[in-house]
Amino acid sequence: MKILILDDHSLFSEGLGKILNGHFTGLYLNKFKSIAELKNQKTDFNSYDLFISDIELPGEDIFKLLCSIKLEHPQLPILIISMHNKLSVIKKCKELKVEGYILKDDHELIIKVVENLLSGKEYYSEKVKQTLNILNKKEELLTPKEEEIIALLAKGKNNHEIAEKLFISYNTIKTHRKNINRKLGVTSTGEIVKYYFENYIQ
Amino acid sequence: MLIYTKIGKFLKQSKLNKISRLGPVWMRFCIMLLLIVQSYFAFSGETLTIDSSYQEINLKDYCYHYEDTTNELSINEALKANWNKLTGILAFASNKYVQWIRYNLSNPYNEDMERVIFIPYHHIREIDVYVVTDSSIKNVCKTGIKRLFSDKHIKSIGYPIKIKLEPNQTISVILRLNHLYSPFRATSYLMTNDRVEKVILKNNSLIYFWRGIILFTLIFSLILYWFVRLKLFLYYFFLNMGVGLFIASQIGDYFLFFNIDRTDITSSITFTGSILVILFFPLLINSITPIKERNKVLWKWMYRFIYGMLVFYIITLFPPIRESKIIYFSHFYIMIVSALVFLLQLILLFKSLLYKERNAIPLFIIYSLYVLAVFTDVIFPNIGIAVDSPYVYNSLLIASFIEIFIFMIFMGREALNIYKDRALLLNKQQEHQKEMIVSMVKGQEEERNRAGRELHDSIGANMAIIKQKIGKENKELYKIVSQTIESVRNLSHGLVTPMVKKDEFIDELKEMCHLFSSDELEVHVYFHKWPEIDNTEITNHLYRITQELLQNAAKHSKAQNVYFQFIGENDSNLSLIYEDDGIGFNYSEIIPKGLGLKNIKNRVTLLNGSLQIDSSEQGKGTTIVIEVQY
Repeated sequence: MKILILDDHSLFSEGLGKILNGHFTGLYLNKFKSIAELKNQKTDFNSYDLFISDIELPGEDIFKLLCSIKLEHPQLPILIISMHNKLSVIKKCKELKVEGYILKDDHELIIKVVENLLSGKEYYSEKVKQTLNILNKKEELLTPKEEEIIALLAKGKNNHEIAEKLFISYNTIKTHRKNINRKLGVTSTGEIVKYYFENYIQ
Repeated sequence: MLIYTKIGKFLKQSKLNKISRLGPVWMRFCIMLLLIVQSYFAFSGETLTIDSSYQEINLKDYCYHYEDTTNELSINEALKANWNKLTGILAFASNKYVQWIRYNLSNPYNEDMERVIFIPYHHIREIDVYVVTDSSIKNVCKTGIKRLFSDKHIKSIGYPIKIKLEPNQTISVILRLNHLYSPFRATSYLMTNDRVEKVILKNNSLIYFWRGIILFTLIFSLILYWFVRLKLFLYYFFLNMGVGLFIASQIGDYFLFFNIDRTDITSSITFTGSILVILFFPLLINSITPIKERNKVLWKWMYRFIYGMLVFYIITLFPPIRESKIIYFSHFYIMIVSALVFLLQLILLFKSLLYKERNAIPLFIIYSLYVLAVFTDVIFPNIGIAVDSPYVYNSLLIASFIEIFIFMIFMGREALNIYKDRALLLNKQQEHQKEMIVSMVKGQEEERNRAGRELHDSIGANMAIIKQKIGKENKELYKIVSQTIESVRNLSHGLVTPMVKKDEFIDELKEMCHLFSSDELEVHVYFHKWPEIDNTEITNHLYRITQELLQNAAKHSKAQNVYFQFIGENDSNLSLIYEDDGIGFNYSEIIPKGLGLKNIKNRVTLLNGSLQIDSSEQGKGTTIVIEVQY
């Protein structure tokens, strides 16, 4: 089994190698410190069974490499082991259909994730999955303050009275009104009130 | 010989032709002698035969004068006195006594003749007019500023005195002029009614115009001073106040408000005007071109003389003194000092010219013209060079126009310069402030970045290795190290400036808000039509601002819910709205101390955006609205 490891942190690569060798037999590991080095050696991705990489490679664009691997060698599973738990990074990896993503301190998961990936499955660690979930978080259209405002509007209060009641300045009320209009796609107070009665009164 | 020619002339003009046919020679001779003797009393001196083709005649060539050293003579006594022909114009610079003037006028025609003796100068205390004929002495008119004006037909400057001559009559018009101890002038003109009316009208028009200009100038300079607070305008105001008072009192504007000037307040007003002019003219010039700097000694001495004038001024404010002999001496002092001051200023200006100070040349020319005008009006007449016209105040008025207009130009220039300088200064200040904010924020960013990267690269990575080496045996240590790695990750994440690509902004912020959420605080974030922003400065600042707001919320607000709204509009406006349900804070207390708030403010300023903070300590939460254009 040939595994390609790409990480500029050599101490980590060593450690990873040790763990993998400790579990799998007949492993051939090739370690690189940078994409440039990888390219220099004219690495043939087809000959590998797994590509493990870090996201943070100083001065180099890992996503470009991942993109080209996915295009040219779609059968090669990619595992990202990174310090970062950043939503944007993980999202990108997910979009690129990267098979595995774990964090550097999830080292107890390493064996499990490698096994999964080698058998064609995907594996994103829990923490990483939680991060991705942020994208799914659904928010209400109107904030509680805005709901209060339209409730008061439905009661016939004007901007000044609403400002007084909610302890907000008149200008802020006007901003809120503007935003409510934009969010609901309406222009008049009447439409706001209509929306209120349609959605908030059972 | 003189008497013979006089008698000869007289014979020709008089009715003696008729008498010559009367009786025996001795009777004729006696009657003639009687008449001559009588006429000597009545008509001693040259007589003006009034030619009807002349509308206006200056009476200076026919003027006879007697100085009444007792100040108490009656008309009958005065008639017997020794009259002298007066050469030059009727100007009494040194005036210690009552002055008597007489004009002999004769009407060569066979019909009545109406004329007006017009005295254009207004400031004379008492004028008594007598008309002496062969048969009678009549007091025709009592006028002057100490007499009531309302029952005279005098509605103009000067004194138009109506006289009437019967056919072929010769009369003597005698004026008793009482203006003790103060210099005055009484040049008279003989005019037809029409001519007088025309002259008065012309005078009045010019005076109305002048009043308008002076009032406008005074108001204008006050307004300028109110707005620009440059001493120059204040001096200009007082100078023109002085000019206005001086001229107004000379032309009798006092009588616009009062009917009579019993104590000659007119003199005091004139003096006030002069004092103001002399006090403030040098100051005005000095603020346009620095003459004081160059000539400190001359300046000091000039003002010493002026302060002497001030002493006289205060003394002469008392009515009894105004008509006493003290005035006589003070007038001399004033005249000398005024001339000195004017000349000294000229010298000072000339020196400035030599040093090529700014504005010196135009000022020097103008000042010379001004001095010339003053001389023309004041000094030349006293020497005998007179302007032969009844518009005696014209030179004063025109000099004031020149002065007002020219200095207005200077003032306008100064005001403009001041405004330009202030605008420039304000601009510079604003720029400087902005630069300071930029460098502060940049410095902060760099520091944070350094710390964040350091944290992530060495500490974070090393911690991961430590964790690996510890292994699962030491559960407690393992847990601690895991948590530490988590903290380091979050910390470094927070510190490093996110190189947020335009399509990653929303995800980054969602993540940040998620990370800040905890059991105690839930953070909601909402995006509405948020565009992809190319400008990384904007995205970075917004990122940092949101971070700051979250940190404040976590540390201070005791809120349970925080709502972020990122709202984009179609017309390139972006709104960031923060709301929490916490305890609120006192803005005015926090704003000088709170670094976080200051940071937010700075960044909003750098983005040229607006910031609105609604918070009180009443536990009704905090709302912050930031609007930015991109």
